[in-house]
Amino acid sequence: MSEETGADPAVLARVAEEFADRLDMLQDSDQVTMLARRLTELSLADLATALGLTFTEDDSAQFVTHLAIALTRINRGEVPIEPSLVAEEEIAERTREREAVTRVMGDCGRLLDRDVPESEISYMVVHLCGIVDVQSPSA
Amino acid sequence: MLPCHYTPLPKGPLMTDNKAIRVVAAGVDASLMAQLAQDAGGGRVEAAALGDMQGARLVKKGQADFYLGTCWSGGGGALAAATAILGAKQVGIVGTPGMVVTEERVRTMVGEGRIAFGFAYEQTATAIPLIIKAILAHRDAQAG
Repeated sequence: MSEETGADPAVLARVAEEFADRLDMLQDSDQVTMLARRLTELSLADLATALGLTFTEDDSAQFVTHLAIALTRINRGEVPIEPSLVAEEEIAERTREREAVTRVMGDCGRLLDRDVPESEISYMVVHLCGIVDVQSPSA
Repeated sequence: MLPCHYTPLPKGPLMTDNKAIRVVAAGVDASLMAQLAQDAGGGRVEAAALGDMQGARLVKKGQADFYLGTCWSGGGGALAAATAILGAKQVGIVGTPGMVVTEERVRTMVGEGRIAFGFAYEQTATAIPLIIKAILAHRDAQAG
């Protein structure tokens, strides 16, 4: 996922520009670390390419905010968020999205030198699935 | 299809009735949140579904009175924009999947003067009536 391993530079640049205001706001208010911000941008670029998505402020703002806050929580070594049975039920069948997020978070975990907890991955997946559903041709 | 906040959002400030308590709702299924807030207000609440940054900025500018935010966890994106724009002392998490929303916690936060409240999406139906009830009670007490 890293810059070295091939996030598409054009997709990465588009993602960074699309969410610059949001990520500036979160970083300026010390809710998001610089490393978490960069990992958020790289993760979005990777997921966009892997799943054929185009993340925009209109349909992906919540996911981006969640991702940045979650990666910061992990970066700072804070207590993982509690799991949600409701969220788990919603994504029980969403193996494609879970595999993509798990792979990307594996890369993030190595760069953060921490494992990304399953509960954090589940919340990322449920946000991501909302976007996949909206952008699917049958939506 | 999973619930999400990706409904078309109205453009521009909606908060027009100076007598009503003006609430902005942002997050997962924001339209439902706004509807629940309006229903709970019994004619005393005007609510609109907005993006989180837009909603928090309306509150900051005094064009809305309260901000309600959800995300799936209650601790991620629910109040991130409100915290950045309004400040940490103005916001409060009233519930997460591991923390039940209680009337006492909501009343305390409203009494402290907090104006933005966050909770997990799955708590929407219970949290919003409690928050609106506490806000109205606080307003009535202040009015004497």
